[in-house]
This record gives sequence, C-alpha cells and structure tokens, in this order.
Amino acid sequence: MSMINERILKRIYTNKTSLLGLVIVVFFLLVALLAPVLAPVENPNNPYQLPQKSYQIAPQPPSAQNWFGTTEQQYDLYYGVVWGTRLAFKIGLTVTFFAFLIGLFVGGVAAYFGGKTDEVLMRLTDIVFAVPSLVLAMVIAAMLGPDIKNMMIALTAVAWPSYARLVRGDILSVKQRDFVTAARTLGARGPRILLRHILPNAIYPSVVVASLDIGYVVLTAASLSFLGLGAQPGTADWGQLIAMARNWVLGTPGNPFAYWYTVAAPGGAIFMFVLGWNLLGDAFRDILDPRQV
Amino acid sequence: MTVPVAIKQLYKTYTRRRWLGKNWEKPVLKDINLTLEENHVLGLVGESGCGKSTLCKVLLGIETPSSGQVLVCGKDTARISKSEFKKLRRVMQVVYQDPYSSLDPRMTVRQILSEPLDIHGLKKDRAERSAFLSELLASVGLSAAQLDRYPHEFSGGQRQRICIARALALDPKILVADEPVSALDVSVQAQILNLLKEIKTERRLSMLFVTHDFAVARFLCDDIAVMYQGRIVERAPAEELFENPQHPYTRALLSAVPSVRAPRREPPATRQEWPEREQWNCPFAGRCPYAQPSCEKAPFAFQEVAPRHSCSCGLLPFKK
Repeated sequence: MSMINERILKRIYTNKTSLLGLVIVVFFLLVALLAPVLAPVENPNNPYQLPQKSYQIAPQPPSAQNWFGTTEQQYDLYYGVVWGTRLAFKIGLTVTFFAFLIGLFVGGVAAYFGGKTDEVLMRLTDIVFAVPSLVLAMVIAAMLGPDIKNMMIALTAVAWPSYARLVRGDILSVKQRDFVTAARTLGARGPRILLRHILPNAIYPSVVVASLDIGYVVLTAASLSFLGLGAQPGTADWGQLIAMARNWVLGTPGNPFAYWYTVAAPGGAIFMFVLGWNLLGDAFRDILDPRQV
Repeated sequence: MTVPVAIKQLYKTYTRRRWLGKNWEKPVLKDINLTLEENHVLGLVGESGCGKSTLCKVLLGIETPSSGQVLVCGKDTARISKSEFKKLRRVMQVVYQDPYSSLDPRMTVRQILSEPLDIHGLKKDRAERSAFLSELLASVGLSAAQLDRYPHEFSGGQRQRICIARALALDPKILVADEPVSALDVSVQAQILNLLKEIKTERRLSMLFVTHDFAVARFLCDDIAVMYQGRIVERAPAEELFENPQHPYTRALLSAVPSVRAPRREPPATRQEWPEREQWNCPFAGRCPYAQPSCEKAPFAFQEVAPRHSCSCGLLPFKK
C-alpha cells in the first residue's frame, strides 16, 4: 500500500495541474479547519450565523474592518466566506459519502443478484437519470422544506444513481475475470469473493468519480441556496451570500461594477473550490487508470 | 479403485430466456464420454469454440450439466451437497490460460497462496504456514523472498508458476489445465510444460490438459481426445494418434500444424465448406472433403480402430 501512496504523491508532484489542484484543496481545507481562528465566532450557538454589523440596506465596500466588504443588510462577507468553506466541505463530503455508499449498495446488489433484481434497480436509476438532476433536487428540496439538511438529502437523492451504474458495470467486468472463477474452484463462497476479490478491484473508478463529484455537489448546493431552497438568509453559505447579492449584481445606472464585491468573494470561492476538486479528481483518474501503469 | 474422473453422456446447453417467442438455445457439449485415469494426462484438443473450456467448467462445477453425469472420485458432482462439494474441491484444482487475469492484482503472493488454506481451514499455525508457503513456492521454481510481492511484479511465466502453486496448495489429485501455456512465449512454454510434467510424476496427479497445440499435447499427454463442435470425435493414446490419425478432422488439424522442416503431407482439408451438409448426422460433414452420401444418414457412433483407439467417422479405417 505504501508503494501505491508513493506513486500517487509522485504523480501529483510531477504534474503541475494536479499539484495546483492539491494546493487549492489543501488551502480550503486549512481555511475550514482554522475557521474559528480566522473569523472568531460571535454567536456560539450557531457559528454559521453571519454577524450583522448594522441594519443599513446598501452593501459596503471592503474596509479595514470588513476585509471583503459587507453585503445587503451589513452581513460580513469575510466571515461568510470563511465559515462557508467549512459548510462547503460538510455538504460536499457528506453528500458524496452517502451517495457513494447508496450507489455501492444498489450497484453491488444489482450486479451480484442479476436477473430481475438487476433489471428493477437499474430501471430505477434510469428514472432518476431521466430528470435533469438540478430540477429533481429542486423538487425534492422544495418538498422537504428549505433547510441545509433537507438540501443535502435532495442532493444525495440525485447523486447516487451514477455510482450505482458505475459500480454495477465494474463489478460485472471484474466478475468475468479468471481470479474470481479460480477463487470459486478453491471453494470460496459468495460473500468472501465479493468482499475480498470483486469490490477491491471494482471500487476505484467510483472513487475517482467521487473526488470529481465533491466540487459539483457544492456547486449544485450553491444553486439551491441561491434559489432559496437551501441555507436560510443570514447563513454563512456561499450560495446564500450570492443570493443576498441578487439585487446589487447589476450595480447602479452607469456603473455596473458599483457593488462588485458582493459577488466577487463568494463567487471566487465557489469557482476555486470546484476547480481544485476537478484538478485533483483528474489526477486521481490518471493515477488509478490501469492503462497508465 | 474408482477412476479420478468419469464423464458419462454429458450434455450442456446454454439457454437464454426470452420475454417473447422461443428461448434461445445453444448446445455446447453433446454426449461427452471420457475417463481420466490415475496419474495420466488426458489432452483435449480442438479448435476454438468447440467446447473445451466449457467441458472444464462443467467438470469444475462452475457450470451445471444439462444432463448426464460427472463423477469425480466416484461422486456425482451434480448430486452431492454443497459442503461435500467443498471437500471435493480439495481434490480437483485448475490452472487457467491467462496468467494476467487469474491472479487478483490487489493481493500479494502470500495472500493469494494463503487463500485456499484459509478457505479450508488448513495450516493455521503461523510458522507452519509460512514454512509451507515457502516450500510450495520452491516447488514451482520461485523463491520464498518473492512471497510479499504483487502479481504485476512478475512475468507471465512466473505468474503461471504462482497459479500452479495456488492450485497445488490443497494437494489435489486432479489438475485441470485450461490452455496453461498458450498465452506464454515459446521458451517459457517449455519451462512451464517441464514443471507440469515434473509435478505430475512427483505428486501422482491426473491431469486434464486442454490445448490447441499438437506439439504441446504430444510432449505432455498420455491420451488425446479430439473435440469438434461439442463432441469427442476421436480418442487414442498420444503416439497412436500421431502415427495413425483416423478422423478426417484430426487429420485436417494435424496437417494444419505448421512445421519448420517437413512440407505439408496433404493440404489443410478444411479450406472448403459445404453449407448444405449442415444438417447431416455427421457433425463434420460440412467441412469434410471425404464425405459420402451415406454420411447423411449414418448414426453418430464410435468404432474401435485399434486397441484403446476409437473414432466416430463412418468411413473407417482410413489408409494412408
């Protein structure tokens, strides 16, 4: 295993774009971990509650006090971006983890039992695929009510089918290989073959997709928050910060960039976060692709 | 004394159920009768798609026979319980053709060789197991220092040695070898064949050796059975088969063997095809240059042409 880790690190170091991805993701990770230090909490009951400086409507440009400026109703953008990073990791990792788990289970069962079970489960995933995922997530989130937890449920509900399909396909192809038949002739039973031979060889493509997915999940979460189906106003959430900037994005007549800072910081954060995970995911794909070895 | 393997009137048909209309059916093995004697190597020769590998799968219990019997050490594999079959697995092991896909790439050699012992709960003591694995690896010509390596660190020939070691871990009496050398370089082939021959003598193994290479079959096999379209068409001791091939298909196969020195004895007979003879009783009629009108109705039956040498062609004996 250590040998594989060494290879992964070597690959990442020698490839500039994957190194950039790693740097970006590690940077965001540090921000998320050090959030209480970087932006001291003002409401200990709910650290994701944005501190409100005053009740003045118009956003204020960056200043010594509010580094990234303030948005509508004087919510501090710096605080929002820092704690929003922590929330982004929370959403991205939780949703991807559960989607991966559900997909692994459904795909595994479909491939293992085959026949009618396979048919039913795969048609179910097709149904989810048939509806554009953002629309479906919006419908589910709207049905459950606007709340971060409900938004994560909605995101998981649309993310798992791609894992199910991928895992099923990989299991079916590994199942054909001689070492699986050889294990059967040695007398190994189903569960042993599945856990020791099939899954370890079939899981890696899904891991790559998962690493690419974390960025997209955060992007979709921001879209839902923007539409008012996720985080509530006043929450330190990137999508929510952009939603609060909605009235100011166009600037004033004659000066379209009058309130540029209302979207610059949260928008930039989303952009960099998705980019980082994308580059890192590409690196994982290159490393785990057997043709590259 | 029961023979290690006896196959009686074995049929295997693959079917695919359809939602509408007739089920799709493909008969792969037809009326196979074979016996494998103790410490003998039985070669199974035939072109690709003739059912050689399917026969191995049925014998190993990976596929179930459609009808007929497979007796391993006198026990009908289709009728015994699962736990009894598991005991029978220790008697019969397999080596596959492709050494690249028959070893789990994420397991070390130690894990690969330990697996059969784990499954059957053997050699649980740590020191005892370690010694056993080293000895096992040495017996196939690899060193104990290579135990903690991964399969991708080995060459094709070495991987095939690991596969053989895995098959031998349970000390079987029967070894099924499904084209074990056809994926290897010629020079490596010779090493693996020598190893198999050695093991066969030392452990008194009976072996079913599938191949499409007559030179390989001649080197290793005591008896040879020739398969065509799911049927055995000729069976004879190896030397007898090469000296006195009877069935037109066997002769066609032998004449198609490329040789460096000798020119072809007769042109490969299977160049021409007669599709209108597809429905004849003789399965080879569609490609047989010697076919007579009588072949259309003649029943498929074996006749003895020499001691232990039987052939299914109705036009026998063939004279050179």
